[in-house]
Amino acid sequence: MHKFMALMKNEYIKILKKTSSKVFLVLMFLSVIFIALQTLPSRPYDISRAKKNTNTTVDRHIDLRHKLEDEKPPYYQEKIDLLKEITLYNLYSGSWQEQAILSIVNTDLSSEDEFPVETVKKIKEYITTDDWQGYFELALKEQKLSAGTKWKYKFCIEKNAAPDDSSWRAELINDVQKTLDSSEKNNDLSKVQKDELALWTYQLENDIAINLSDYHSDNFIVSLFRGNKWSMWMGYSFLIHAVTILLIIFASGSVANEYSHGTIKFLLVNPVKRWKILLSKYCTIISMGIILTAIVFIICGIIASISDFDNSLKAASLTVKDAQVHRSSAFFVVFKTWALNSLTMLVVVTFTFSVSSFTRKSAAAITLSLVFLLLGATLSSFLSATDSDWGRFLLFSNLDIQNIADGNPLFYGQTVEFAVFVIIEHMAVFLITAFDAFNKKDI
Amino acid sequence: MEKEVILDIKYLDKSYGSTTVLKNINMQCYAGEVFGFLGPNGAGKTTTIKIVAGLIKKDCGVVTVCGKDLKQDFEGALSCIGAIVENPEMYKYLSGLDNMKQYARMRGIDDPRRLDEVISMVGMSNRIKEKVSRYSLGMRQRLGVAQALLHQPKLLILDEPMNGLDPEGIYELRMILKRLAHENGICVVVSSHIMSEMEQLCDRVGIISGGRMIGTYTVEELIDQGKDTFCVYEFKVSDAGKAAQLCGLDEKHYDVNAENDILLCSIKSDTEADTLADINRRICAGGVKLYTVTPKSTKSLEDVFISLTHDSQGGGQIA
Ligand SMILES: Nc1ncnc2c1ncn2[C@@H]1O[C@H](COP(=O)(O)OP(=O)(O)O)[C@@H](O)[C@H]1O
Ligand SMILES: [Mg+2]
Repeated sequence: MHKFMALMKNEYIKILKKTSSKVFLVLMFLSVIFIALQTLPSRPYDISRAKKNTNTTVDRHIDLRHKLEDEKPPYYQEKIDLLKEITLYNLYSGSWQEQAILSIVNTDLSSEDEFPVETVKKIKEYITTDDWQGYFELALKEQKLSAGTKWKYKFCIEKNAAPDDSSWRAELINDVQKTLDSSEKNNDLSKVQKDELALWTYQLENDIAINLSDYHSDNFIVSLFRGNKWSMWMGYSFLIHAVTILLIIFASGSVANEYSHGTIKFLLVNPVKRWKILLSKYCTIISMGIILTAIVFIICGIIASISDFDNSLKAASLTVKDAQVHRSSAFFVVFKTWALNSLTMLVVVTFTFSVSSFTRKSAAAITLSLVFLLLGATLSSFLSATDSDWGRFLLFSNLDIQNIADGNPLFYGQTVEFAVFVIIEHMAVFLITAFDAFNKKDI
Repeated sequence: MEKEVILDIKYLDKSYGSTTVLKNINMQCYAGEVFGFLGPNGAGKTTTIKIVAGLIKKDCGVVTVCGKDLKQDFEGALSCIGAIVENPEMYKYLSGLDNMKQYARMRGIDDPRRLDEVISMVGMSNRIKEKVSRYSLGMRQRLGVAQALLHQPKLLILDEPMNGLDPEGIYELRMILKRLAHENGICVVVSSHIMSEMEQLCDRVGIISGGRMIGTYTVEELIDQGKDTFCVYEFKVSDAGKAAQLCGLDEKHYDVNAENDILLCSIKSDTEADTLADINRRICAGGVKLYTVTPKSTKSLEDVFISLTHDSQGGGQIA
């Protein structure tokens, strides 16, 4: 073991003391930092849909007035006056003020009931003083509300959550409200709606603004623009490619350069079995990959967290099954995403290593590996798009374990087990080729 | 007292594809001797050394180093061997010292004093911190020797180590190798295609040609073999043609130059002194002026070497 560590130390020195390696390392880190900073959002993503369009305010006023003028009930003028006053205030589509007014306008005014002058006056006061709590309490007490609206008013009062602020809550609150309303109407909810409802209420109850499982792994760039440290950190996992390319360069030389420099003879006259030498080279490359990925992971974590727009937002990964919410911590999910993305690196670098050992040419190893890296995924998507079902057996089609596990595989019915099997089988072929070539060849 | 066999090669065969490179090589090298492994280019010296150093696989045969079979106990056998195969290639971007440290780590040598020791032994102490890319071939050769000696091997194999060394370097290396063999009891195997070098360095030489072992000789035996060959003398005379007739030599054994003032005679070396005296007397007696007599070439191991190896090679072609 001690001796094996010594062999690995040798390999580390051989790689790191090279000027070109140092340059590549610096370049890699610089480009990671540069790209990470470049893709930072310049303003927070507007999470809420509320207050989207103030232009519609005018139309709303006109609509309301038309409605009022069509009315011909007994207390016509009194109501008109009162309501006219109210409708002078700014109304946003979907705002609580608008709902408050609509609740009056939509009351069946032609009925013989006494017009609730007092209530309307109170509502007017709440609107003018911007007192949503007052109105919600009043509405819960005195008005006939739909299930969704009832829930919303209760929730807002309980949580002291302003209904129409631009926070992430408003959007979810409205979604829940709509779902509850439709469940009231149809007396039932579809399975998807139940799951959604469970998820949204869970988020609202537990104050989780960012659900990381919304971001699929092929949607990294999108998740970057959420302006949240966790989602950005997760999104930055595409920067693993920078480490992969660097490792391809290192791995392609690790065996081939010994041949091209003639040092292989002096390496192999040592009293160490060849497979141990090759294993030390492989372990060096892989451990270097782990270390570099860890460093890039930390750098991205730092960049993501210093550029977070709202540190108070909580993030977690929530998945729903049968209306049961399963929660994983944000860090765990970010880490898992990075780990799964490193899988491609592991496979590609093993491939490079194998080609380097087999052909003894670093140029061949680099070229083939880059083709693998750049075209592999494209080829798989192409085969999937053209319904060439045999594409599922290709290595590239099985590398995106995340998507396969999430149920979005390239080919119908791909499973994680199958993907893992294909990956292990290819890795075994690569490694056996590498070791066999290195063991047998005459120097 | 029986000398300890360090390197024992038996029935060694090797072919690349259909070309046989080594055929039935047998040799033993002993502790405390410098063994010269001699043969023309392409004879198979490097191939043999590579097999012993574990760089290529033999087709059949047995190689034993210090009693350890190369195949069965690869690491054990190789830890007894220090070797330079062909050119001493180092990691050029590392310093000499860093290169040496690489070997030290691979061989489990922790003591930095051992590094200093071998480095100063090959006279590289002053330049060892420089990058190898700035070294001359000779310096790399020295570093190669240092590398081979690092783990105090019982068997030191050097493939053409004198290549690229300056005369002083050759002399120093020769002294180092002799001392290692004769004082430290190491078995030193040196391959070369230059006979005169071997003559000064080795105790025994094995001659290989065309992939076959011609034989193993002590240096004295080789010199004895040289006894029945001819040596050439140059006679500067006033009339070479006449002198040649006066000598009474067989036509094959003399030659006259165009200016007719130099006579070249081949004389059997076992009766060299007598024949020479006789020729001198005859020329003088015949009235031809004799100015100088110079030995054109002395009999040397080179001749023996060429005559030994020539037969097995079709007209001096590279095998
Ligand atoms: N890799 C190889 N493939 C085919 N033939 C080779 C190879 N290496 C050496 N040879 C042949 O083996 C013979 C012996 O070579 P070598 O051992 O290098 O000779 P030398 O005595 O000059 O060191 C030569 O004829 C050479 O052409
Ligand atoms: Mg050679």
